[in-house]
Amino acid sequence: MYLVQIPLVEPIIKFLLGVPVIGPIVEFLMWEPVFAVWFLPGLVGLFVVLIYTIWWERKAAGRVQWRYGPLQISRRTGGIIQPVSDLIRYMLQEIILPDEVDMPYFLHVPVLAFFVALTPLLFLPAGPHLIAIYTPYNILIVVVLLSIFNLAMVAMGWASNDKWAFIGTVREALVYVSYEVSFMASVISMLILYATADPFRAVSSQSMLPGALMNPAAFLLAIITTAMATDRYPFEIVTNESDVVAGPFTEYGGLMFGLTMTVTYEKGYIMSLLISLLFLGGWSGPYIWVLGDLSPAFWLGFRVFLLMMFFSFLRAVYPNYRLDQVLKIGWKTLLALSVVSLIISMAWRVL
Amino acid sequence: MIKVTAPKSDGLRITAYHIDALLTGLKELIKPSRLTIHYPLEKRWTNDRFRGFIINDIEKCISCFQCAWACPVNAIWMYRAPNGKFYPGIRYEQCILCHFCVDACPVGSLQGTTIHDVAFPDLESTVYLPEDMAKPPNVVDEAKYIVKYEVENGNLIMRRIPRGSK
Repeated sequence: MYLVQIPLVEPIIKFLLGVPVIGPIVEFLMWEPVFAVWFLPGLVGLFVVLIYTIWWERKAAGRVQWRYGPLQISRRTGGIIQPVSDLIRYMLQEIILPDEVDMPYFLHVPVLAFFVALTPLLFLPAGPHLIAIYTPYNILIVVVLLSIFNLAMVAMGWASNDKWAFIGTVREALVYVSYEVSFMASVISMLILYATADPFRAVSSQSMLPGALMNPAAFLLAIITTAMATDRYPFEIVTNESDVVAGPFTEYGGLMFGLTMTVTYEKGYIMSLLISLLFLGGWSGPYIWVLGDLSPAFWLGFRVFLLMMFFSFLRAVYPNYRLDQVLKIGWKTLLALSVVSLIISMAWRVL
Repeated sequence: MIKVTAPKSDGLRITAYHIDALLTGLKELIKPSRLTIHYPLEKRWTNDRFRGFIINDIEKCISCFQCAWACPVNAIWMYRAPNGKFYPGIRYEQCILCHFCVDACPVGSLQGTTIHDVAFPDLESTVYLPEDMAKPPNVVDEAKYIVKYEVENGNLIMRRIPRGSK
């Protein structure tokens, strides 16, 4: 039983381990797989990333568009706790249940999606000692589990029984098939390059050169398909406010809407983790003694934050594509690019 | 008939556009050239002769009706006072703050002020009777800065001036 070592809080942990009732609980929480699920890269990491990203998205868009963004709550810190206050508001709002909806699916799917969508985090490491379930095929498992999001979104839209939700659902299905092949191709070309689906070996193969430089085509592909998959501009087709009110989430309100909104950001978090592991050299960086086992997680988190900030920043810069343009990009440009990236990877293997 | 055709897609040009858009966004992110003001805490600088709320000095008023005649939107109603004279009262729901009435006043009893940001709780309070016209409306002013827009080398810039200093 390996306990996660953090020299910074070592004395506190040592003291707590000696306390009668709290000791075993602390030991359980510091156990490697449980720590990975609860703290990093699990729930706490997700929560921090979520709050920061939502704040940054509004703030960056505001700055670029000559506005201020959220400011009134905690004015001195630039309104950084605005997402927390939004969360409280969502929790206190009434959940409206329209008559027309398919009630069991309408109520259960967002909750199920929220938790089931977290399953890829079980297979993603945040450092050499921070992983919940280790198999040599972790990256493939993550890529397969990612498609649960789309199933959940289609189920939500179908259960809502609403015009906008229906259009949004159909759009989701169309966009999904157009980016999924290219995304899979970009991941598979990296797996060919590293000759493994094991995240630890994938990271250690990038010690000389990050994957983004080894195969730029696959990196570009992964960035574009992630923007498509997480509904970022310029590919905000599914939940485009001016076309379909909120797409599959139109009928949801209160806490349910909070959950559905979070699901998209969860997907962005997981895909950013995957991109940092596959293309940006994972957790490589100078070792920080104070953080101990969290030092790799710190460097990985740095990359994830940068990626999430980049994807949010796109909202400030781009207008939106039409659905047919996105499908054209997906089936023409990205498919051609994925063939190129596969060829580049094979060339690396042969050389 | 003009037939609209899709522009030819040129990969290199499109890439250049994308990079240009991202760089422009980055430039604005680092140093935004925004002109927005925090309204209750900052206020725009106004000219001394800015056309705002109108006050009336009943001592000077000769009840000549010229202001009511001049008003283009019929916002001025004349009310009969106990002394038999008529005095103007303005309905700010209709008033467009054109100050034609101030210009029309032969004795200078109507005077303009620069107060222009007033919120009314309901429709009834927009009707000002002659006795309400004596002094300017009671406005809570929490502005610490006065914002002035200026043109410098062809660029519009904003300058914040602390309230006390002129």
